[in-house]
Amino acid sequence: MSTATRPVAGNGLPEKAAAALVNSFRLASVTQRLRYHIQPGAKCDTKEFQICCISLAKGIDFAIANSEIPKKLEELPSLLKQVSQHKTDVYTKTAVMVLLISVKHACQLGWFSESERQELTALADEMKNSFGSSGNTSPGVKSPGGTLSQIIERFYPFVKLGHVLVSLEVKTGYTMMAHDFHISKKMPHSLQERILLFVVQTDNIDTSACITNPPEVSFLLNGKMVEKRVNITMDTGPQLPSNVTAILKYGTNLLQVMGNCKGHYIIVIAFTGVILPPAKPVLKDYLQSEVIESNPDSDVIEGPSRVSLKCPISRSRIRLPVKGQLCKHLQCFDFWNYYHINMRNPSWRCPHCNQSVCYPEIRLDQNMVKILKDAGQNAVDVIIEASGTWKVAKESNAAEEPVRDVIIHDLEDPDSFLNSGPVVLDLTGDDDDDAEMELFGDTTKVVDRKPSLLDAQGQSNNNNASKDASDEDYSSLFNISDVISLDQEIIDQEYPNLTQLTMPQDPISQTPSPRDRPAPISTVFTVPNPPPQLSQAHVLPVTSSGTSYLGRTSNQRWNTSQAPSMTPSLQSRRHPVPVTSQSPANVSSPHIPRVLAGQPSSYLKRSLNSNHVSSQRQRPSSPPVQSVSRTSDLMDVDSTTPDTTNWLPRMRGSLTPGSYSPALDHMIIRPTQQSQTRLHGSQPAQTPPVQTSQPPFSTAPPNVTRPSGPTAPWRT
Amino acid sequence: MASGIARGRLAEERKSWRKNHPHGFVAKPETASDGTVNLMIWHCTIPGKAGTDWEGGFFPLTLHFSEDYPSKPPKCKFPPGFFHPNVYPSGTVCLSILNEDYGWRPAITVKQILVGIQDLLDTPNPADPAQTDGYHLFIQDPAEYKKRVKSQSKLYPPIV
Repeated sequence: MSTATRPVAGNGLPEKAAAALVNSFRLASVTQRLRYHIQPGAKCDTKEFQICCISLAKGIDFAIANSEIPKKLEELPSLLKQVSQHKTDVYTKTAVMVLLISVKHACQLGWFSESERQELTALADEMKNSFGSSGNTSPGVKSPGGTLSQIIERFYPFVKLGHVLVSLEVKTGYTMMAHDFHISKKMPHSLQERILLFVVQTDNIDTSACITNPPEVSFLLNGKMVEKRVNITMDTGPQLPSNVTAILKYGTNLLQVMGNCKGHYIIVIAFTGVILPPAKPVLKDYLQSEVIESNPDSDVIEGPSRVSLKCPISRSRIRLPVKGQLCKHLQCFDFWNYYHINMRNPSWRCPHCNQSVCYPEIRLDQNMVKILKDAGQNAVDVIIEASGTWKVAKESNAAEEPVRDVIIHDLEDPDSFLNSGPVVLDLTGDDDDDAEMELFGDTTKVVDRKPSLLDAQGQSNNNNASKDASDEDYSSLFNISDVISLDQEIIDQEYPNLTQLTMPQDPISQTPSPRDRPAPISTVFTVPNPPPQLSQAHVLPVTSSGTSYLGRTSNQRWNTSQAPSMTPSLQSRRHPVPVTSQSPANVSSPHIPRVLAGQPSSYLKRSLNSNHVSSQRQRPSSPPVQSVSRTSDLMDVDSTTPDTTNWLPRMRGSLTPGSYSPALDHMIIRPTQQSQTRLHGSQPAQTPPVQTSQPPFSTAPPNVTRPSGPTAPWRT
Repeated sequence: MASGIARGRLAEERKSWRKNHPHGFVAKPETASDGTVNLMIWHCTIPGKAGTDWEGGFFPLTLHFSEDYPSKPPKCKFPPGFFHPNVYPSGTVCLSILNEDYGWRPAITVKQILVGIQDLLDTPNPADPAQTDGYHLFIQDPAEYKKRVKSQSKLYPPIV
């Protein structure tokens, strides 16, 4: 099947012609079948009707992708209008919608006469909008212009922007958007290019906080979750653009954006290439004067300073010594190391002082270039005098008392150390991190997923067995392909929920009172029955043609008509991982959905709980104070009400002995109060957001509410 | 590319540790039975500070590094069930310098992590409990807390 569509160099033309011929045959037969369905009094087989719609949509997509206009189109518009009247249930409606957005693109390519074009386009838009309003969004111009190129320049210098497929702006507020777009083989792109999804908050693009996910917004493409950008697998921290090439296809595609945006965002889907780090980067010189001007206290650091010639990232010798334009320390880091770590994790913060240093802010320290050149290859540290003269530090000096050495020379750079008084380390941490550990074991996966309070819950029982069970639930949930390829049975079961899911939500329902919280109801998507439906429901309703249940079912029933061209050649060429469910080998065996359906819903309930909280805009001003007189209370606070106010380690403790004093006792009994007190005392800047809108994804808020957060603990 | 950075950095950490490390501490990458070294997992020992209830204990700690290291911190784990207010029942240590979103910076060395955790042992942060048991006793019953710490220290005698 896929061989038929794969263009083979040399004899590509005949194959293409053959495929086109088969496709036109398919269009004809499906059209005929549909006509039979819509004739009055026909015994209506709903499933077959849906399959026909999807199949017709695929046929149209195939023709569009190959820039063909099939013959015998005269009867199609009237047929489509009649078909669009069939909205007996949500699945039929979905299928019709998929068909109509394909038709819409056909219209744009001049398949039909002008009047029919207008009529069909209106019909398609009306249909699509019933799956999501476009109220909060406005289509951006074809070229996303200044903001995105600025973002790329600052945070994704390794991305080369190509043809832009989608460019949208989303305003603050609740969004339920469905946006269709079209990818043609004729679009200018090379095979090396990947299609990336960019999500950028435009309110402030100075630091990498603007490329974090909107914490309550999920992105779906063709009904499939965009990894790390849906509420159950949301990743915190600055994000790379998502590579969505594998879930897109030639023809019509559908982007869905759902949730509560806190801020203005731009959403761009574009072809992109990769820019490798420059062999000879063009960098501005670091200006010492900036330091003196911006640091009136600089007299404090007078005197010799020990500076390492090793990069704090690699711990090997610096090749090209750079630092941020605003960095006040003498310590440099290596340009290429910095570039590489930010290609993986674009936080763009100075590895030494944690200050935001985006790509254009990198400065070359000519002074250090000279030192590196003149100091011998064996030199590890140098002593730089206030006057600027320097000498190689003797090795033995470094080996003084280890702890002191650590604190004075490594842990803090000299100026901040002197300015900050006693060394205070944060004893924060969070249960999320731990949950990851428990759930995934493999640390490489851990960084990607931030489950919510699962860990705390497991630990509240101190029961490893129960934790293991939830572990399984969890991992199977993350097997996205399993979630996607669902049986028709399950779809039918879940079906009632979809009605709610696909409708735009009343924003008010997103602000439940704390009393409601134990009932796992209102998520961002308002699912009435929480268990496994959530993920399925998200995935299913607007699956565009070709990649989901309908396609698969149709494959079983309509082998002949589908045979030639179902898999767009894009996929077979470019993606070793097949994402369609069209090839029987990829059809998930029926037991998988059953496993899913029969699964204990414990995880989902919790996840819903937490999503539910994360969708709250306001945290109750006074969270229930729980006295920790019984052992279980502490944990109960956390597990039953995912109220992380008590739990979240936003305070600091001193590592210096004696930090604990009886004076703290009265506070300690009630963690809630205490945490508030401490927050006020120690980190006033972040206090209001932390207390009012702390979602249980405990690592999410810092990125959102205090972009410069990570530097704080060391500074104060 | 970047994964090269993680391993390269860990190789340097190992070198630097071998050259000089705080007394009583142990830190070495995992070695398989066939002798191959896995730099991504380090088995360490943290000695309890002299003059504290933790003295005499040599506490095993495992560091799990990811390919995103040093962009992201390692996970540090004591044995499951380790008694300390800021250690999760799983054994994972809860400390700001080990939190990507707070205190972590790529410049922090393995040495600093281990010394930081040693400091944490005797100066728990009651504002940030990670386990019920340790937290509860620390707050409500200092005498019993002390007893538990001392008996745990005896559980981990020096490895000769």
